Amino acid sequence: MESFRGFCKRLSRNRLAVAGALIFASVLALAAIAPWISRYQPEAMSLASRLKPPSKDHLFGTDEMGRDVLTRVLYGARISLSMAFSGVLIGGTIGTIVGLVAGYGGGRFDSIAMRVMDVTLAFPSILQAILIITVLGPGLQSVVVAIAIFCIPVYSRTVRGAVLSLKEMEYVEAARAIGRTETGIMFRHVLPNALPLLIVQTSLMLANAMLVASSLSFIGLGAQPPTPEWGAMLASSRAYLRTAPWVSIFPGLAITISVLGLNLLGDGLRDLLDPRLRQ
Amino acid sequence: MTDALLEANNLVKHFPITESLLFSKQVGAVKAVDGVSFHIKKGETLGLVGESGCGKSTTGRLILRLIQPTSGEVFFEGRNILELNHEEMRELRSDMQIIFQDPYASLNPRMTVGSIVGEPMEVHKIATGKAKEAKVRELLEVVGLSAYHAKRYPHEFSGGQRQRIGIARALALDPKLIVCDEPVSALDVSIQAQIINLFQELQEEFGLTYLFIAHDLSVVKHVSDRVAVMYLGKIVELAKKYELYDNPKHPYTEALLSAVPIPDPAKRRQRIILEGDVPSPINPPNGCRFHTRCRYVQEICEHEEPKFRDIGGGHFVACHLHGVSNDKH
Repeated sequence: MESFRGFCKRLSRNRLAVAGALIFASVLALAAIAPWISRYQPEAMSLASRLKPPSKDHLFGTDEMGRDVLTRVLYGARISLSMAFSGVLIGGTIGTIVGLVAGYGGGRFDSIAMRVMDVTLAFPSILQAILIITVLGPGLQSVVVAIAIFCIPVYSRTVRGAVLSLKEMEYVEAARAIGRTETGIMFRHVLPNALPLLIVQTSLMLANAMLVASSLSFIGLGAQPPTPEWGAMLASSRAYLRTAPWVSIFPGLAITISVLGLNLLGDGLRDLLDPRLRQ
Repeated sequence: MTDALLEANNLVKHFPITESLLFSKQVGAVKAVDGVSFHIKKGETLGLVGESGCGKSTTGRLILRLIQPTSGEVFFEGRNILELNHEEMRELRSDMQIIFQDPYASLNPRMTVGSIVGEPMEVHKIATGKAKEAKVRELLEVVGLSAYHAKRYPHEFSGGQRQRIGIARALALDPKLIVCDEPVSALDVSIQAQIINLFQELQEEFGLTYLFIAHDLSVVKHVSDRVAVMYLGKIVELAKKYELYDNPKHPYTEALLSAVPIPDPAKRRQRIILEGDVPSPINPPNGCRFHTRCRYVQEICEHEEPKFRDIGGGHFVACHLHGVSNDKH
C-alpha cells in the first residue's frame, strides 16, 4: 500500500482524471460563489426582457419569465449538488454499513440482505425513484430519499465484495489475536482498507445521482418551479427550443459537464486503484 | 504435568465441505487436525514440523482459539480455554500471542507502525497517550528497530523489519506463550538467522514459551527444546530435540531427517525417498495414515491405527513398529 502523496503523484499523471477533478472543482467553486458572479436574483422576473438572446447584460440570455439564465444555472448547481451529495451520503452510509455487516458477519443476515439488494437492483433507478416519489409526494426531500434508496444496494454490494476478501487478511487475524472485538476489527481494520473503493464509488454515484435528480425534476417530480434546478429549467424551456435555444442549452450543458467531470474523475481513480492496470 | 503452561488434549478440527444450490449441505470434511495431544512446559520451545498442509498452522490457531476446534481440550495454566466466554477469552489473549508467517499480510497497511504496536495496549487498556507511545518506542528498540520508525507505514520496511514489527506487537502485552507460525519461512536466509537469534534473546529476557511451527528442520533443531512431527493431521512423533534427531523412531521422521541437507559435500548419507503424494486429508487412509508410503508397512498398519505412546523418557511415537514389548525396529 502506498502513501497518500504517492497516490496523488500518480493521479496527476492521469490527464483525464485531472481534467475530471478540475471540472468538478470548478462546478463546486461556481456554486459556492454564485451570488458574487451574478448581480441578478435567480427568481427575479422581468417581463419586459423575456426570451432575450445572450448579450452583455445577460451572458446566457433570459428565459420565458425574463429571468437571467446564467444566474439560474449557477444557483441550480447548488441545488443539484446538494441533492446529489445528501442522497449519496445517506444512501452510501447505510449501504456501506449493510455491506460491511453482511460481508463480515455472513450467515443469514448476509443472504437475506443481499437477496433484498438484488431485487432492488433489478429495477431501473428512475422507475424506483418515481415509485418512491409517488408515495412521498414530489419535492426536493423526496428526490434525496429516492437517491439514497437507489445508492444503498450499489454500495452494499461493492462493500460486501471488498470485505469478503479483506476479512481473510492476516492482519485481521492478528487483531483478533490481540483481543479486539469483532466490531472493533470491522471499523478499525476492514473498513479503512475498503476506503479507496468507496471514494471511487462515491464519485461515480454522485454523477449518477445528479442525472437522476435532474431527470426527476424534468418530469416534474423533483424541484418545482420557480426553483432554479437544471432539470426543471429544461422542462419549462423546451417549448422555446426553436425560438430561444439558449434557455435550454445552458442548463443542459451544465448537467453534461458536471456529470462528465465526475465520471472522468471516478474512472481515473478506479484505474489508479486497480493493481492490474499499474505499470 | 504440573509444569505445563499449555496442554492440548485430542484436538480435532474438521473443516466442513458444503455444497449449496439452494440449501447448503455438508458433503464431507477436511480433517485438518485429527486428534492432536501435546503439552508445552513453561519457558521451553516446542518445535512443530511437517509438510505443507499437514495441519501445523491450524494446530497453532486452535490452541489460541483463533479457530474453534471441532472437539478436544486446551488447558492454559490449568484453565480450559474452550469453556471461556468471549469476554474472558479476550482478556486471556494478552497471555498468548501469535507471530505470523507473512510479514507483508499481517500488518494493516493503513496503520502506522506506532499504532500497530500500540494497538494491543489500547485494546486491553494497559497504556494510553504518552505512556503508550513510550512503551511503543521501548518495544521497537527491544526488537532492534528505532523509536523514530513508529511514525512510518509498514510498506516502508523490508521483510525482516516487518517481522520485527510483528514481534513487537506480540510482545506489547507481555505474553507468556507465543505461537510462532513459520515466522522465518518468508525471509531471506541471512535475515532468518537474525530473527531466530532475536527470538532466543527475547525468550531469555522475558521468560517466553514458544510453539515454533516450521517446515525447516534445521531451524527447528536450532531453536527447540522438544520437537513434534506432524503428518496428515496427527502428531506421529514427539521427543527431546537430540533424541528425535539422533534416534528417530517413526519411519516418517526418518525420511524427513534424511532429507535435511548436510553442509559438507564430502559427507554422504542415504536418502529415504518417499513414494507418492500425501493422501488427501478429506479422505485419509485407514489404520496408520502413513502406511501408504511407509517402507516398513505391515498388515496391521492398514487396519489398526497405532496409538501415540511414550516408549520411554518422554519419547512419544505413533507406530506399530514400536509396540510396548516388541521393538522390532
